[in-house]
Amino acid sequence: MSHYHPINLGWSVQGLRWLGLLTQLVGLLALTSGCVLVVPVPTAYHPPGSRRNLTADTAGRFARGGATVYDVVLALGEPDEAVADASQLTYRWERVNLHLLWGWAIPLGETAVGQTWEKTYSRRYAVSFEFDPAGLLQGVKATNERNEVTREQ
Amino acid sequence: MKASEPSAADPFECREGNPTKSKARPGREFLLAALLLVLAGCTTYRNESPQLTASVPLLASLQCGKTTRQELVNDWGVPAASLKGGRIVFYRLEGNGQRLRFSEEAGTWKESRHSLVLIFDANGVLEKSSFVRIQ
Repeated sequence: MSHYHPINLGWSVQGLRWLGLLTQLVGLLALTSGCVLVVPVPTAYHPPGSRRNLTADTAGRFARGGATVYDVVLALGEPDEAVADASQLTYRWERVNLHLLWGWAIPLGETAVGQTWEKTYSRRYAVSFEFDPAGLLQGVKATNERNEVTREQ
Repeated sequence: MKASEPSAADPFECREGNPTKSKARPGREFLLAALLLVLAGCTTYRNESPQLTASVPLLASLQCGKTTRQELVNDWGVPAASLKGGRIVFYRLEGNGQRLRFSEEAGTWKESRHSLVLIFDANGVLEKSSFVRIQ
């Protein structure tokens, strides 16, 4: 009496064992003949286009109620965003903290197949100054957010 | 106090090191120096104070109490930005030293490296100015 088994495709137990062994062997060969790379590169630089005259301490340089909008622009230069009446000025900058390179490669005769990626981890900073109608500094808000960019190479 | 006893508090005192106790580790020192060099090279903030415009040859013609906003528009063109109805005006400059020139770049700071800040009074006459290094 034979029972139909839904996953039995006609392979014998010994055949399945051989197939499993072959798969493992191919996988092992691929891993040992090729390579997998993961390279973290710590950095600390401003990307092109980012201003470099501000730091996280900039927000504390100006006294609320004492500093004026003129003091801020004379010290920091043109803001990156501003309300036309200068009631709010925002300065932005970015710092790249890490490049992460990873990929794989397997030699095939005289050539090789593989792929690499590069991920850039940076942090985007912003400092916003708010002024009253008389132009006196009323509030400072500093923010920063993580930014990740992946590139396939 | 004995004459030969060194005074510990004198910062100008010459001290001879004991060569038998010094353990030089050039490998570790080299690595530390290389690491410091790399880190020092990476941290390039431009925190210098704004310059006076009188110290920049290209901007030496600016005179507080005399120069007007309209004169500058005629000579230098439309400013990069202005606020408070023209009371605050910004120009951008690229290059350095003798090669300093006005920039037409807007938005990011890829080419322009300096921001010229001009504060005018209600009559459009220059009151204050500064030259800020951005890049």
